[in-house]
Amino acid sequence: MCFEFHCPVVLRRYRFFEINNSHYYYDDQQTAELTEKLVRQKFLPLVDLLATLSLKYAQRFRFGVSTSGITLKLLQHYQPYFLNIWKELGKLGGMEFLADTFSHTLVPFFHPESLPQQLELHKNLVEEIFGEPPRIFYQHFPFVSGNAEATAKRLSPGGIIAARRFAGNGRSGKERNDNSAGLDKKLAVVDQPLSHKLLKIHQKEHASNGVVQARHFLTCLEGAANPAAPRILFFNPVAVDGAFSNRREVFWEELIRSWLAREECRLVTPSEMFSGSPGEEAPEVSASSNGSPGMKNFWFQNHLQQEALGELLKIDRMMPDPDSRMAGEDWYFIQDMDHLFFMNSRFFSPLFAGKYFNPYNSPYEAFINYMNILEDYSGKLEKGKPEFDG
Amino acid sequence: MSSFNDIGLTFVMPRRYGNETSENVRLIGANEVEAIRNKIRQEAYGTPFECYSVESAMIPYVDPDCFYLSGWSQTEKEVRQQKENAPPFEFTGKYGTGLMEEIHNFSVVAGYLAGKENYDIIHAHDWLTFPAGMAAKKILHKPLVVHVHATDFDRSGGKVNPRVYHMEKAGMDEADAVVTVSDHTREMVIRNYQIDPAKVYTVHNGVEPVGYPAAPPSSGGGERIVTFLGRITLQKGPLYFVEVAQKVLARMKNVRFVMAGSGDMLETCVAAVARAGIADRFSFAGFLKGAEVWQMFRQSDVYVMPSVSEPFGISPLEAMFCKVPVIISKQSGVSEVVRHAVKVDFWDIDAMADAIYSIIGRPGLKKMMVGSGVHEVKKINWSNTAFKIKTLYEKILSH
Repeated sequence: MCFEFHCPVVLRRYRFFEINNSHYYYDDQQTAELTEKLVRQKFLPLVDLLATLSLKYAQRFRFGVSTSGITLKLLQHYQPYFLNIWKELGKLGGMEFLADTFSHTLVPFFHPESLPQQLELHKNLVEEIFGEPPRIFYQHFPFVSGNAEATAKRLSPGGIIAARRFAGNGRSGKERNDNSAGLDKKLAVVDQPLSHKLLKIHQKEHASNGVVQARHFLTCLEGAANPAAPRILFFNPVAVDGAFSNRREVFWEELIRSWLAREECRLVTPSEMFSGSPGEEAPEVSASSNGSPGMKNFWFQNHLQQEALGELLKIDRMMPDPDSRMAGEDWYFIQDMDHLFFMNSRFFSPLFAGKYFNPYNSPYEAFINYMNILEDYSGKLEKGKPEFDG
Repeated sequence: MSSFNDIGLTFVMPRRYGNETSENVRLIGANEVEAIRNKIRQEAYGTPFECYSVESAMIPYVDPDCFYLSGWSQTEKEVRQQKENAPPFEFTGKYGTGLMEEIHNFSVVAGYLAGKENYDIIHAHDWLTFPAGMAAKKILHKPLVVHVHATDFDRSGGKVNPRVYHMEKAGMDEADAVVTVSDHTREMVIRNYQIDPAKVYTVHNGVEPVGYPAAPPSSGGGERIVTFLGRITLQKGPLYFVEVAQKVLARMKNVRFVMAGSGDMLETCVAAVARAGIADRFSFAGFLKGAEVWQMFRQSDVYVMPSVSEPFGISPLEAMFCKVPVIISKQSGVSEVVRHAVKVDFWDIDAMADAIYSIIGRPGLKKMMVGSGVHEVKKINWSNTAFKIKTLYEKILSH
């Protein structure tokens, strides 16, 4: 079981006539308020719950955590007390951070040259805060280049957990939606349909009580193909509308209790899942039939997203050497893939997942603002190396 | 409405020209009602009387140009008085100096017609016909629906003409149902005219599908055209358009701003353009009609509607049909029904300029707005509007 923690950076309204005149891009007040809201409504209740379960089931409740370096930076800056609570949770044992990119970004999956820096920065920050470096890489996006995959494997020898079975993960062809459990060495795939089911249950929290929902989920799990095989489930509380309520806590307590009550069930950390298999072979991890939409639908489906992504990659290519990537902290903040998400074609759908933290009224507003910032940033790069901010 | 077989429509207008579409609609021009006016008056009110307009410079809808062009003079006044004795009523069908008199005469004709035939519902469109609707209701004792396409608050920027306001309010008070073309107008009707919200219904307008011009909007190496098309009056926010132009032209040179229309703020806008020093990049196209409008859209890269208060605003929908990205004021009814437009507050010239800069300079934005906009606007049609009005009729008649 893995939990995702994510805080977005809110960009300020940056108008075209500011391009080349002003290089500050952030709405600090909005970012601070949103971070506080996320901590109060989502992260703190979730961490409390995880601590309760850890204490109750001692070393038997084990889980993974995924978060970007930017989220940790924001928490360090705006909510340091929460980080202290989180650290205390880590001391209870059973929690393992996944390796991730420092930015919440797509760029390294297109340009693998930046991946080592991204992973290194993330690893250093996690180690600095929590004392343990991450070992298993969480690949949330397909590698566009095969070298990137090799780089990730090299940098993350413990293994890779992929959000989906992507093209390029040792296979050719498009992103796969099949049900096969076959895996490359040290590569496991998240069970997206069941993870999605978890999310749906939280979105319908008023439909039934937590105990009933937990039992319903277990029934779904038992009904899935290959129910005895290991599974990787992800839960992102930010993707759920509203606060993390008592009812949701009841659900998790009942789910974990029921799981651990079964002799054949174990909850393990990501590293334990990989190390449980002999040699270099990953365990046979089962993934239900993948009915959720592909990654492309969220991040670069439409003209706006494609143009913005093109601009991001153009800027990345302008970075002359790895050191220059380190030079401007802005780059790590502004390449956040949330900015592409806000241009999503489903923006107007009532189920659009970005509603919780989306600062725009339309995908067009999101595009206009973001492109102005990218234009300024690339102009700054053209004039010379970015100033050292951080 | 004429597509509904179970509805018989009689449409009474001030003046018939003979070229109106009349399929499944019985058209009556009030100017053709063959009755001697004194006879009408006697039938309607039981006693003959004469009505005179009081001359006043406060004439709704008439800008200075129109006023002077109307040639209102002592001679005309004398000619008009001579015509008083000639049947039937004269209706110009225009917003002239005799507007108030025509409104009154129209109501007399409406009352006369109501006494001759039976109808189930009376539907009066805008304040000009409210007295006629009220007169018909008085004779027929049948439900009156008044349709508010705009209020005097929209037209005047808050400086309402008391005579117009009272006619509007009287019509709304008397009506069994008030239809507004947007929630924006509905709120105004409830707030400014103190009308019971329970009888005010929003039915958004639609748009007539237009044939998209064969050639795409200007693109490539030519200059980019940003268009304002509408009455050049306070309500339409033309001065904001000039300010936006100044802001954009400070950064982009290959752009031309075009203001098409006429109105009482034309001279002010010309002066503002001159003061801003952008006269070489700013054109005034004059009043456009018919094919000229489509030609204008065809040449446009962006259409801007910065209205201060726009009850609905069909022209952005027509622009979307013509594959032109649109920027519309949030203070417009049309902003309630379209998603694929950039929506800004009318005073936010920074946001408007920003959107123009992006639409012109970033092809992805234009592609997405045009593609999604055409798809969206096809669903905003008059059939939906007619169906909602028919449903409202049925509701009123069932009570």
